Amino acid sequence: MVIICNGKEQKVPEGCTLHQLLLQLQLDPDTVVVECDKQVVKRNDYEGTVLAEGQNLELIRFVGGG
Amino acid sequence: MRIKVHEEEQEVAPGTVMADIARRFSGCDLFIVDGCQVAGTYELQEGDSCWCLRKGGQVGRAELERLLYLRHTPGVQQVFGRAVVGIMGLGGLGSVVAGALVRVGIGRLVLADYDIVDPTNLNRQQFFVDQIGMKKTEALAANLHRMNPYVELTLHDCRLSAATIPRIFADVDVLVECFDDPVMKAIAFRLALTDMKSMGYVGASGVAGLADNNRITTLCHRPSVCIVGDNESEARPGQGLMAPRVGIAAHHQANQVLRILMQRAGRPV
Repeated sequence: MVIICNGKEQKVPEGCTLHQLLLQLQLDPDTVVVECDKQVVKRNDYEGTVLAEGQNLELIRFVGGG
Repeated sequence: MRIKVHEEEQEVAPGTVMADIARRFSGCDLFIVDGCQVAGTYELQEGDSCWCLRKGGQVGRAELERLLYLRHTPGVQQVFGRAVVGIMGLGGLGSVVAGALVRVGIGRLVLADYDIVDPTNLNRQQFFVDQIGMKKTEALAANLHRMNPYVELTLHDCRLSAATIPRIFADVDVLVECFDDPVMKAIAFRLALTDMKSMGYVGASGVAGLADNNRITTLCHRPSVCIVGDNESEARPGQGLMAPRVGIAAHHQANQVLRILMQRAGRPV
């Protein structure tokens, strides 16, 4: 199945959760803010959010240092 | 033509230059017109507001408060002076953002950090050797008041969390995220998009190392919710945090705060 991730098409397996996608992208879920179809996803919902065909994800990733 | 000399309206002849005005005051050698330093040969124009000062001269409190902002773009100080800005984390970003905002006369800053000053901070943070061991909140407050004694400071010596951020910064116009920890950066940004929508927000991500200056950008996800940095350069073994590049990002943040304040005052720039 295909979703849109930061404006680009991304293939993910059926039943893939948001948490699994972030790990697949080698991102630490705790450092990423996610908007799914323009809705901000709560951090506690990453594991339970099953991705659906055509969903539009915006991933905003933070790196350390300040 | 009509001009202002030390904020007093006056009629002067066309062709009057700054040096003509300066002759009325003893020993003045610094000339400012509408926020800009000019030479004595500057020909005054209708509507100009000019000042003649003596460089290094001592002045009283009321005069000093006015002179601190004399180099500002005209008209912005009323907006800055009414504003309340929060800063989360007083390290390489936060201590520099605070300095810039104090120098432009933001009315009140709400400053939060749990840490003390240690020697490894001094390669980029606005503290001094004799402040090692002090609480960052108190050390920075002392330094900021030396820059501008008229800015009000509210200090919070505590570790911030998703639960405390909305309470501590409830009344700020713009909140600046200057954390070191990327997990806290994400937590704060998520709050800015959800529970704290009414305030402006300027975060940071990707400020380490010696990468190209111009890769540091200010990207706004909402009209008043922005992130500064190159989004890649993380602090890690082999890539340190140093004053110049962290400072570039910090000043992006500080200028974005001013831009958001002007926008919210109905005077976008």
